[in-house]
Amino acid sequence: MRRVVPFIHVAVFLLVLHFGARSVGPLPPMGSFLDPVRGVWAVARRADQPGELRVSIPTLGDSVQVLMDRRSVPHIFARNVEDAYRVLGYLVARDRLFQMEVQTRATAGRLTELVGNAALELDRTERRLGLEWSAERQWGAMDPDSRSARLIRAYAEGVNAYQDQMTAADLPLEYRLLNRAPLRWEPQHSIYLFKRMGRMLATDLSDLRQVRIAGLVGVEAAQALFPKHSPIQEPVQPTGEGTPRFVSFEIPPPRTPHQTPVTNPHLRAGLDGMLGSGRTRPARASNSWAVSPSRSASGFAMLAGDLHLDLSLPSIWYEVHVVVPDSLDVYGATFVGVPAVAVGFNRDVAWSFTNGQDDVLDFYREVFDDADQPTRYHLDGEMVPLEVRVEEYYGRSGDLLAVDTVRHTHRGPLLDTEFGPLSMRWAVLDPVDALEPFTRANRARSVAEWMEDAARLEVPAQNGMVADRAGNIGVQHGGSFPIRPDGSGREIESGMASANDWEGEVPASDWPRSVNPDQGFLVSANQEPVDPRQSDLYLGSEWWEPWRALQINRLLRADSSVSPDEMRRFQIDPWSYRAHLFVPRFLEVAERTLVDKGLDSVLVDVVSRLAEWDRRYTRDNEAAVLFEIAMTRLEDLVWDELVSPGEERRVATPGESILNLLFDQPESPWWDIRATEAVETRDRVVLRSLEEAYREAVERHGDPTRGGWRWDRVRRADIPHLTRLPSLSALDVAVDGGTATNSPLGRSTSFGASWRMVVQLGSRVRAWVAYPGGRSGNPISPWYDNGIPGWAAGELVEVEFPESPDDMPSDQLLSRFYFGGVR
Amino acid sequence: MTLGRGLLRLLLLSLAFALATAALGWLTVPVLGALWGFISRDEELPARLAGWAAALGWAFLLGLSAVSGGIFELERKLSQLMDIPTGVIFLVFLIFPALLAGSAAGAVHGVKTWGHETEAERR
Repeated sequence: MRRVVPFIHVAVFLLVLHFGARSVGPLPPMGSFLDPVRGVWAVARRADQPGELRVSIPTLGDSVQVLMDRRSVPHIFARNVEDAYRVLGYLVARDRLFQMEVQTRATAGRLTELVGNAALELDRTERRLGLEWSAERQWGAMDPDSRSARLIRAYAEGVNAYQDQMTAADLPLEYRLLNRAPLRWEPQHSIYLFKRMGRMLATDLSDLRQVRIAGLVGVEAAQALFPKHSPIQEPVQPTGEGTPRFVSFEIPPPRTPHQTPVTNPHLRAGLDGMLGSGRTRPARASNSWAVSPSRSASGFAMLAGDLHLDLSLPSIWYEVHVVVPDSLDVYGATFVGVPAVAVGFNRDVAWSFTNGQDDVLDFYREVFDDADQPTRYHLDGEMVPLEVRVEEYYGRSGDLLAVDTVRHTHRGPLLDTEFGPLSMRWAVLDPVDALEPFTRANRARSVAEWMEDAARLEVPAQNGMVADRAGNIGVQHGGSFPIRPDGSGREIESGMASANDWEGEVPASDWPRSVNPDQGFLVSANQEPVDPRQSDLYLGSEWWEPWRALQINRLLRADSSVSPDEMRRFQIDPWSYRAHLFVPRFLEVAERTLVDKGLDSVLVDVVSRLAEWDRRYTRDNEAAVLFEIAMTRLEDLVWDELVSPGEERRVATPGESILNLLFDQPESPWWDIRATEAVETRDRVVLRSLEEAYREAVERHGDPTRGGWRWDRVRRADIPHLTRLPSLSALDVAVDGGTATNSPLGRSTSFGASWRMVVQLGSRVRAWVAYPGGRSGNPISPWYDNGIPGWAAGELVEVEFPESPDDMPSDQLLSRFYFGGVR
Repeated sequence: MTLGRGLLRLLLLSLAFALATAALGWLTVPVLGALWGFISRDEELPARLAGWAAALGWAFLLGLSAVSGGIFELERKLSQLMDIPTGVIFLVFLIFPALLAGSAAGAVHGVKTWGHETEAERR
């Protein structure tokens, strides 16, 4: 036995050393992971923030002081703007290093290098779209002495200064779990993030959708189901009528098209996955409104902004205050990785944005020399060489996973679609300086100046809402809007003629804008920017349904003396204009049937519940779930013609404002359910949707008398970590709000108000904010998710806005950081 | 060896493991364990003592981290992430250096004393 024991020891030693030094399966090397000083436990030690920190950044021109207030928001006091953003880069790297890398890699299509083969299809999508390619081209073409280039470089210097000073103990948790080292930050990575925003916010697929729908129901019906203009007009630019305008038109019946619709579900699924299907609204929307002094309780102009985006931990936003005497004094939310405040305020103006929803993406049908291995394409009677880009995809260990050949025409990348290869002309890929508008807007001193500066914002187009200390309010729908030869971008054009290319951009002087309207307020909630009676400019057609716009306008019209707290309550108002419109429709049909024929017990219960409902999506209400399922069932029954033969999902879903129109056309063939022999009309289909909704609600949520229909048991907000790991996420957060309420909580439960802000511009600027997250990306930090409870409760916290370090009240000060030796 | 002397050796060796890990990282554990195995005599049970000392040394260092808070929450989150019961990671944390140091000490000591019979075995 004695002679055997050493062998056992050797075997155990080798085994344990192997686990210690190398990854085994999903486990990182245990030695460095468990090390009590440098290992994962350091994440806990780094969670809190020091009372004082002294840091050296080699390229700092002068000293910088940062005060962390009681909410752990950094207030940067610098002597020049580049130093300020160097320090911002350092702080963001310190707090959000992993997030910066994931965002960058996701945009660049290089996630496989971090997580392996599982991300290959995602990466292929992004590389084919060309976001990295266009960002690199843009950086290469940028004037290195331009302000944007200098700020982007300064920010990168700060990020890399932090990385250079990192020790093993500073490595974020995610890197330890992945057994990876952080990516070196390059200046152009800031541009990647702008491309990413464009990808999220400026992907209009109306041309593909129209072709698909027309292939099912005919061109006339397709145009009526998806009109260019909303049938409920409550536009961003006020009409002066003081009330929404409801437009009525006949929806032509579905016609059997001459051609068999092109259905290659795999290619369509691939394209849908790449760009979003257009079947449901993309989950990016926002509210903003401004109130003039005449309608403000304080007599000062006010502005509210809440940006509805995908919720995540850490937050998409990094809250900061930047002061450079005589140059900059701006507070607000920055994009992680970008040296400017995107949404916020300074001493003179406050601003926010809502997505413009504009059509800046067109597809062209190209014809090639060789269908299988194209090298040239037809253009104006000649064969023009295609630009070719070879994309290689590597795994975690540098192993080659795949190679793609991406071809470009002069318009943009070629994509394989069910309509054949199409080239994309997409404004997101254009080389524009997206930072400069924000840099200039951060310094604006008036509405007029801000609107002039924001005029340089190109992609993604935005409704910019602004108010100033002098009491002015304004909104501008600004961006890079292509001028098309046929005036509209809702068809797939022939790529054989350059005459079909975009002819230029709509000049800024023609952008829809409104300043100091008589009504005393302005509202933007992604609705159509301008009434078509006032402008025939084609900007797009993918406007959000106007439910939030209608409700916010309704609230502001009813209140001529709005306070900041009322602005806050309006942001979270759970009342639904959508329910207000449709519930009476349902009840009218049910009550008519009750009189004529009587109702069964199910319908009696349905009618009772809906009639008693106050249309508010509060946590404790028990009618919203029934209404939501009824609406879904109704859409499924009505729009059955929009399902391709042999498939189950609709190609696209018309807006509910179209459904509302259809209610006034009870004999329309659209009510007929194709799967039945009988010819249904409106009342039969509505009753059926209510019955089926009730039964489905009981099946999914139990007996309605047992509390299972409470809204906060049916739908809750999810705020997932970037990795989607549940233990690092905040899941099942109970909130008020539902589909299309001011603070929406849709079927995608990880979408909602990512940032809320109310600003009052008086002699002293006051502001209140909330967001579902915190400064730190460390899941153990008390500043990781500290904002969630208040955000869920609809609360806002007043911010500190000191003009100098001495102005910060001592009881509001948490820490001081000194950069470059300030004392 | 008396109990007192044994405890003293344990504490001193634990301190050595703690200081070495703090200074140079986890790889010092097998190195120190091997060294201990080389200089120890049979009756000092080198593998066992090295194992206990390494675990104790690491526990001491982790205890220092616990002062600043957060390690229990971190362990809980890691346990959820790995779908294992809470506390298992702490257990693994102690077992890892114990096995590494103990097996290193035992292996080296065994090689060193290979072929050398003890007095009792000779009789």
